[in-house]
Amino acid sequence: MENLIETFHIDIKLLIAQVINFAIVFSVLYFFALKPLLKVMCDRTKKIEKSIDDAQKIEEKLSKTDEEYNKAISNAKKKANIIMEKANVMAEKKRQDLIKKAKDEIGQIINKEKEQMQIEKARTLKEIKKETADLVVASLEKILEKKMDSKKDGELIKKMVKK
Amino acid sequence: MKITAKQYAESLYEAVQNRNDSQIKVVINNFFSILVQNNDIAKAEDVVVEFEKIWNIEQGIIKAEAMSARELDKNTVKLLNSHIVELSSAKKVILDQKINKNILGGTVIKYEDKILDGSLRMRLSELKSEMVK
Repeated sequence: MENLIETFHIDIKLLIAQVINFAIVFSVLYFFALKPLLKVMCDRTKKIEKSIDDAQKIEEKLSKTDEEYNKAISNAKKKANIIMEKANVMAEKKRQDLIKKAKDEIGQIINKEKEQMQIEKARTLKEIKKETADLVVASLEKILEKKMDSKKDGELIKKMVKK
Repeated sequence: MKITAKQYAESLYEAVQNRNDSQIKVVINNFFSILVQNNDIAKAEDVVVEFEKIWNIEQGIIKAEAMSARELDKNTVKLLNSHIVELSSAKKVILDQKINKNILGGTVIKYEDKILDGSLRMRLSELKSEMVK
C-alpha cells in the first residue's frame, strides 16, 4: 500500500481534501444544477410523453373520426340509395299511374265517341226508317184512295168481322 | 128537395112498364104535368136522355157507331149489326153510320166504351210503326 502511495506520489490529505472538495462540488452541482436539470428533463420527458400520448390519442381519434366519417358517409350513401330507390319506385309508380290515367282517359274518350257514333248511327237509321215509312205509307195511301171502292170496302169489313 | 133528371127518368120508366099505348100516353101526359107543377120542365130534355139510357139498358139495346170511308151497303150494315150484337151480348143494336174519308177503308166501330178500329188508316199506322222499329 505504501509502495503504491509512493509510486503514485499520493498525498492522503490532499486526497481527502480533494474528496471533500469533490463532495462539496458534487453536492452543489447536484442540488443546484443536476437536480433542477433532472426535474426539467423529467418534466420535459413527461410533456413529450404526454404530447406523444395526446398525438396518439388524436391520431386514434382522427382514425376513429375517419372511420365514423366513412361509416356516416357509407350510411348516408345507403340512405341516399334507399331514398333514391324509393324515389325511383315512386316516380315509376307515378309514371305508371299517369300512363294508366292517360290510357283510361283516352279509353273513355274513345268509348264516348263510339257511343256518340252509335247514337248518331241509330238516330240516322231511325230517321231513314221514318222517312222510308212515311214515303211507303204516303204511296200506299194514294194507291188505296184510287183503288178502294164500296165493294172492296165491304169485303174488307167482312174479313174484319170474321176475324 | 130537388128531383134529378135521372130520378124522373127512373120513375117514368117504372110508370110505363107493362102498359099499352093508350095508357102510356096518359102516363106521359101526367108526367109532364108533374114536371110543370114542380117547375122542372127545363129538365125535360135531360129526362128524355136518361130515360133512353134506362130503356136501352133494360131492353138490352145498345147504341153503336160505325165509321167508314164510304156509304156501306145493306148487307154490310147487317153484318156489322150482328157482329156488334155478338160482341156486346146486347139484344138489339142501334147503329149510327158516319162517313169519314180519312180512314181510307174498313170501319171503326164504337159502342159503349169500346172502339174497334179496323180501318185501313189504322193498318197503315201499324205498318209505319213496324217499319220504324
